[in-house]
Amino acid sequence: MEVTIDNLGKVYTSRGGEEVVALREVSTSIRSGEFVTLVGPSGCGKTTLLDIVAGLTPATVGEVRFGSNGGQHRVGLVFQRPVLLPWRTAEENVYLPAQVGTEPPAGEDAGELRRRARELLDLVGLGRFAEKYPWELSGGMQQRVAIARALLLEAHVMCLDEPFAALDEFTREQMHLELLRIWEQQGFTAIFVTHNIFESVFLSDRVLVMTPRPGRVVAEVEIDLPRPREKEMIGTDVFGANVRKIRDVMAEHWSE
Amino acid sequence: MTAEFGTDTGVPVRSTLGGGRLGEMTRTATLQVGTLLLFLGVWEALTATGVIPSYLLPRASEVLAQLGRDVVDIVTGGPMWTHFYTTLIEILLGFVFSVVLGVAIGAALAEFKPLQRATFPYVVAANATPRIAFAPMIVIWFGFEMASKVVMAVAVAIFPVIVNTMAGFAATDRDELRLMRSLGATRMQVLWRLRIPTALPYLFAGFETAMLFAAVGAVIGEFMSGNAGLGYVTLLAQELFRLDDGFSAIALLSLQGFVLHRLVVIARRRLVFWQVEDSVPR
Repeated sequence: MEVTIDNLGKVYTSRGGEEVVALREVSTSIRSGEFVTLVGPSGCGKTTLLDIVAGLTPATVGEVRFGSNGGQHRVGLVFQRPVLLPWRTAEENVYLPAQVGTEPPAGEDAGELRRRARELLDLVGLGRFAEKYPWELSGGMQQRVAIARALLLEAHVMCLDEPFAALDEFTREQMHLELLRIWEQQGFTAIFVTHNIFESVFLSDRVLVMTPRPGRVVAEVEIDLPRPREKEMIGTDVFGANVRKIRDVMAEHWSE
Repeated sequence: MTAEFGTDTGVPVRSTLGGGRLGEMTRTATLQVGTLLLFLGVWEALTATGVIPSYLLPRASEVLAQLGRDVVDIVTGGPMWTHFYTTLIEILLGFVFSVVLGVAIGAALAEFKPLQRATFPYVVAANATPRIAFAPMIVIWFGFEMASKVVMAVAVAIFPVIVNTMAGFAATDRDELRLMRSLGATRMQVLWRLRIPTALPYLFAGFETAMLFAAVGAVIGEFMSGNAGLGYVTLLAQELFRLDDGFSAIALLSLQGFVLHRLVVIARRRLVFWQVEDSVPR
């Protein structure tokens, strides 16, 4: 499902009554099934933008449109921390979205979603761990459960807010490949937030470079690496050129 | 099963029930019994030799003999049974009222911010007041019978419940709320599926303290008035200069408190199974 972000702006009023511009004049359109990354330093409004897309906070000006006719849409959300409920097993955590909301599914639909929760755990490689509790899983495994949970209700758009920032380097690399595999298989539109330029280049079709005060998109960089992505691409000249392009834009717009 | 997960997956295995565990439990039990015997031995030696005169501290053997007679009396339904039973009921009623009222008050303060803002300094001040100072008034208000002891127990035990309940309802983290909101959860769903389970470990921390405090309150109540309960027995022992009776009653109070507290701990381990094990030794 395509996502159109139209002249989006967000102004907070701080405790002292000061107006803080978190986001200014952000416009872009994201193709259906595209993998877009928002990259930038802390405080550049990446998370604010993601929260608006996910419907967690309203925009001050502008709007986000989903699909061509603005119809039904579902947004899945993955946070930096896995945010799993410790009293639920992996499977019960994945099933959580089916149990909340104004119209939780019942009867046959509920049974169908139960099966889907199992399948999604298989998809993220945790089929054997369905009955385990979060504290029995490693950090990477917990984050996979969180991804499976975001997929339960067949999200058209997946918002990922620095989902791998807390993982160690090796686990993170592995998770990149996992995420891309799941993305290719499920076909959702991915909006990924990170401050890691390498990560943004490796994952994305397109990188939106953001700078703070006020938070805005200063450049869009198309990543010209072929799909499917492979670990070996990281050392290549093309990869390096893309990284440099993003660094140059940052240096140009942000000198602190 | 456990071995399968433990090998190459890097999954932290919480506990393993192997042969080593049983051996360690036996060693620990031996050590603990040894400590008790050593304590009683030193006590006996100091009193039997007259280093500590018997009018200050009775001999350990005399206290144990009295404790034995008291236990037989309790089991056969003699007068000690009435004292034992009276204090037990006072503690339990004090605990139950503290839990019910404390959770209600704590939840109300946590949920209705204006109420919290209006009353919080007074809650803190009341918590800082030694409630024992109310004991004489409580006797005037609630009489010489059991009611005044239960009220005293509640007065002492309710605050840890209130404070922990408030902390528990404030403990829900921001990302968890964002998650629930992104899933379109209603207010009641957030309460039942997130906030109450999150608060449970805190509630139980309050319950554990409340059980111990309820015993303190009950004994203070018995000191103030009436003629029943293990607290009354120690008071009487002092008046009659029967120190072995007093120590025996204290041992029974200790046993009661230990068992009641354990029951709360066992309930917590069952209901709040996901909580990381406490650092306080068992």
